[in-house]
Amino acid sequence: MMSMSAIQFDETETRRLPVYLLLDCSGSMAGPPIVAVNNGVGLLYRELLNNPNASETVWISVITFAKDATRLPLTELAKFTPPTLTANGPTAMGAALRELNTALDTEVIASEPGKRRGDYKPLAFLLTDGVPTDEWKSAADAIKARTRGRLGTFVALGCGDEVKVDVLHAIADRVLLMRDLQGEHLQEFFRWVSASIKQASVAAARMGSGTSLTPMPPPPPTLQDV
Amino acid sequence: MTTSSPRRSALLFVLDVTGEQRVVYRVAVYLQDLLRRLGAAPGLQARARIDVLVGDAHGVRPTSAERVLDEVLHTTHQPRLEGLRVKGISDAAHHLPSEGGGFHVFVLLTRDLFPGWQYDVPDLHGYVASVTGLCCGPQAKPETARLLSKEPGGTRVVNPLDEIQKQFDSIATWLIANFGDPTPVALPVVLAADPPPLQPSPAPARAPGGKWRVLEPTDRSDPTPHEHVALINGAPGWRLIGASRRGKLHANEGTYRDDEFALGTAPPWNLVAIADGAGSCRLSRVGARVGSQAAIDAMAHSFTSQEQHRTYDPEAWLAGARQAVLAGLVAAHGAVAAEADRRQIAMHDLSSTLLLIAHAVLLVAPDDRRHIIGVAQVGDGMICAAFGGGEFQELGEPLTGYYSGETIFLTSVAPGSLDRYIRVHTLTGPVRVLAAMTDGIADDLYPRDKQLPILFQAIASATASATPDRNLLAVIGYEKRDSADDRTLAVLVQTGEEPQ
Repeated sequence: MMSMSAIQFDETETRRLPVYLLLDCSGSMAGPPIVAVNNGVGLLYRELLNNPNASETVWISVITFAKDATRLPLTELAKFTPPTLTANGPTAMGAALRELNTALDTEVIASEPGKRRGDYKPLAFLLTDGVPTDEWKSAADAIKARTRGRLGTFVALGCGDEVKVDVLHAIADRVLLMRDLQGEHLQEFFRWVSASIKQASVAAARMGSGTSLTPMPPPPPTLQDV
Repeated sequence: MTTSSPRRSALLFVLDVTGEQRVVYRVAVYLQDLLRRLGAAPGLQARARIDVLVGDAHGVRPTSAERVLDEVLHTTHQPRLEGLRVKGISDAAHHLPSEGGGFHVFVLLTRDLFPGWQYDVPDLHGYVASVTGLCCGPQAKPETARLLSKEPGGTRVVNPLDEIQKQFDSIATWLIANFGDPTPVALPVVLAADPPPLQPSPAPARAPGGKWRVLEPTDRSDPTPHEHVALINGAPGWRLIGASRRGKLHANEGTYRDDEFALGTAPPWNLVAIADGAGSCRLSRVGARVGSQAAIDAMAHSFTSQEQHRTYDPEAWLAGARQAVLAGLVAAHGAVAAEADRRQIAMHDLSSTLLLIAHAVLLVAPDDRRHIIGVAQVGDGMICAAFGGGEFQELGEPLTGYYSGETIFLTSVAPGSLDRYIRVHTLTGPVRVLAAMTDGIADDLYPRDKQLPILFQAIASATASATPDRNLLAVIGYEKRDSADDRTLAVLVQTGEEPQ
């Protein structure tokens, strides 16, 4: 007789919470800022790894942009290695948004009743200290207009005086500002990103359908919510 | 204000940056954490000075806890031809000021050492009090780390890399205990004597994440037991069994189970209700409890006041089933609204799914037995029939969105639209089991054709046993990665052969 608790399930299919990090690696980020971003991604990675639910569900993709955009495919947290980012070149934010759109089309799995369950609503975080140097509006509009494969939420963090708030609002659902890019404050931002992802990985398990945004904890006081 | 003791030890951390970049990065990240812990340990600064160095074939150079990650980011772009030079470590130790106490060296190896290192070891060992060789990642050889080490630190093999945190934690504990406290304590786990064989690290079977905790809720309002089982006899020849258990997620968060079920009977009808409270809503467990019980009561009441049982008309029975299930939905909706009213909270706070089954066997003719089934499914989860021949049929329509976790709740449906969620079926095959389950189980059953037989085999074994309810609870206690939700399974099973 089979043991009552011995049901063995296929472990190959997992439900993922896709997280996209769009990181500005343009020349203006060189020096301490890019080091702070590297530290921040490392911090995010460790915090998530230490949360049992997040470590089982979160998948991360890093999209960097400078002269053009580079996208690392969605990777499960256990196999993710924080990349080493270097800064140099212009700010091809439009290219990064197009990469995000492509990723939402190709990487994120939709539910198929009876066949497979889909991913959780993906989250995206964009960090920049400048304005796009390429055409970005069409890609931003395309992301906002998505009906299939919508983002759960898209948060933009603008650092420094160069950023244009209206551009970030045209891109993201929520815009946070950091007037001067300080390592310490950036760590707080990444800690908040981590808390948001953890909360989403719990709430994602139960969320009313529709277009409502993924709920997030309040951002740290060092960031201005605009 | 610091009180300085006349003799301080020197803790020297040497990070070998010549290894694979991903390994070096990971080690640096954890080293930084370790250093932060030491920096925060009371009393430690008074007894030990901490030096951090990064090293390669050219030698070692000083850095700091704050800068170590930065160093790694700037020094590992080029592939390294040679490993760390041991002479660089002893040279550095000789040049660092002595505080009167001994030097304790921790070498975080990420690949094999610079050739000829064996000749440099005696000098290092002669000068410092201890060397702990940490062998991190597949390119570092345990044997090398062992020969480099000098007691009491000993060798640690950190492979697979996921062990880093554990090892670093134990080092931090050891150092804090020894230097943050005047009484030295026993060494932590040291792998000097018999390091495990080095193997290419396979992908971990499960994520190396933090451990799942099992916590009791601190908010004791509306207490809900973490497990609930029930068993009742239904219409002749049928038995209803339910089991519900708190998921890992709620245990980890210290919150209550949000799932609930209720069973009932109004012969010849068997009645099942299950509900899954929305995780994001504070009192969804109350909504699940109130809704499922109200639905059972209303369905039973509806059937006892119906007239169709005097006929053998399957259509009339089907209409009766539809009517009763609708009464169940409407009553549940009303009960949840009344509960919200009573508590002066928004109905949204009581959000839950609701799945109902009303089932009866109608003998139309001696050789024509029909299962008349009405189901309602508001939200995700699954209602399923299992036939004697090993076939399955889904009876409800789960309302799920594009993504996992997107669903609807009873509270978000207008009462006038509830009939949209009802389906009625006439099944003529040998129905053995009818089951309703929440998404905590249903979401683990993909692909259906492969997983359903496994579940129903387990249900059959459990329900045929002496303690079917407890065993059903055990069945839904299976372990599966990324399956952390509450789980509820309510089944309707035949207790014997179908009567002739």
